[in-house]
Amino acid sequence: MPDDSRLLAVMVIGAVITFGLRTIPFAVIAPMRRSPVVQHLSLAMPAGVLTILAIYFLRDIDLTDARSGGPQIVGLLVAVGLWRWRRNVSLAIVASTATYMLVVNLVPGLHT
Amino acid sequence: MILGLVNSTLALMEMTPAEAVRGGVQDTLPFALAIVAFGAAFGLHVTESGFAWWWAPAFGIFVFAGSLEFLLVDLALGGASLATVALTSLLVNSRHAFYALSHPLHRVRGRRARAYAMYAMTDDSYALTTGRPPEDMPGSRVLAVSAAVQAWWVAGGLLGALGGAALGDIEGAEFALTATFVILALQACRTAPDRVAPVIGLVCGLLAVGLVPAQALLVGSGALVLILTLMFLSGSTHA
Repeated sequence: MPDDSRLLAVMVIGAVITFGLRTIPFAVIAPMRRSPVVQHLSLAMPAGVLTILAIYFLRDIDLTDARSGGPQIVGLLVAVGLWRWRRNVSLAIVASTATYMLVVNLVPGLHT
Repeated sequence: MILGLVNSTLALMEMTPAEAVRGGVQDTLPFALAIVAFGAAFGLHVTESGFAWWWAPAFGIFVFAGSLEFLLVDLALGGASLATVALTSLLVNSRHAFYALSHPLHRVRGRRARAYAMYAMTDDSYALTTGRPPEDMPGSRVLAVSAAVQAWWVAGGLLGALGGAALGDIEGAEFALTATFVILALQACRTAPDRVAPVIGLVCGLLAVGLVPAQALLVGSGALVLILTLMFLSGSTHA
């Protein structure tokens, strides 16, 4: 049985940091707006950070193991394909996750 | 007298609070299903990981940060150090720090209302509240959007956590995380001013995952910020 007290500690840390990230900038918003570095980072950084996050989550995909890699590739194809077709982020995420879950749970031999 | 006329006209143009609230909730409707579904995936992941169902709404209320909530559950399961949890939270939600630059907080009146508006600034509520010019977003509409997004999210979490228990052993909800970041990354690269940051992110990410897999997020994005800042300060990047 996983540890509830640990999850609580993790939740509190995540909550405090998230709240800080969202509120503190408002307190320094004037200097933030004046700083060319901040302006530049606000445009450039999100794309870079999200790319790193995407790679981080893709690293688990084992292309040599068809049983785990296969459903993930299928899910990604659905996600990217739908996004390119409809330009709708939510649709791509929901449909690809549903596809992945259907494949992993219903195709014989894939459920661990 | 002219000032009086201008003031009256402006007052007429301003929506009544009830209309603003209704408008705010309606703004969230196109995304409600997706938010509920993503929330349900999270709720499912919570119970599939062995935690009690009420952790899902607890996270939705106290953290209220979709993708990070998934990660926090995994970090707790994996026995990560609290320092790792802190750094991961900092990183994954670092993009929220920049949202302040364009969020219409100045339209929200009252300290508690403002505190809520800031606390509820997720990707979704940020996108919705900045989707219209600030003149069209009275404070009550901003609050209504944020509250509605949170309601959908917490409801989804409950649905997934409670429904998951009924459905039995269903796998795969965590794929929502991979899909989310791949799509958000593609989206951000499309709207980024140039290819520089994404390419640097790609290189930093690949190297970090290859060399220091346990601290890949921290090392990769630390390097990214450092490189971007140095490039900017040395004038080799156009602002």
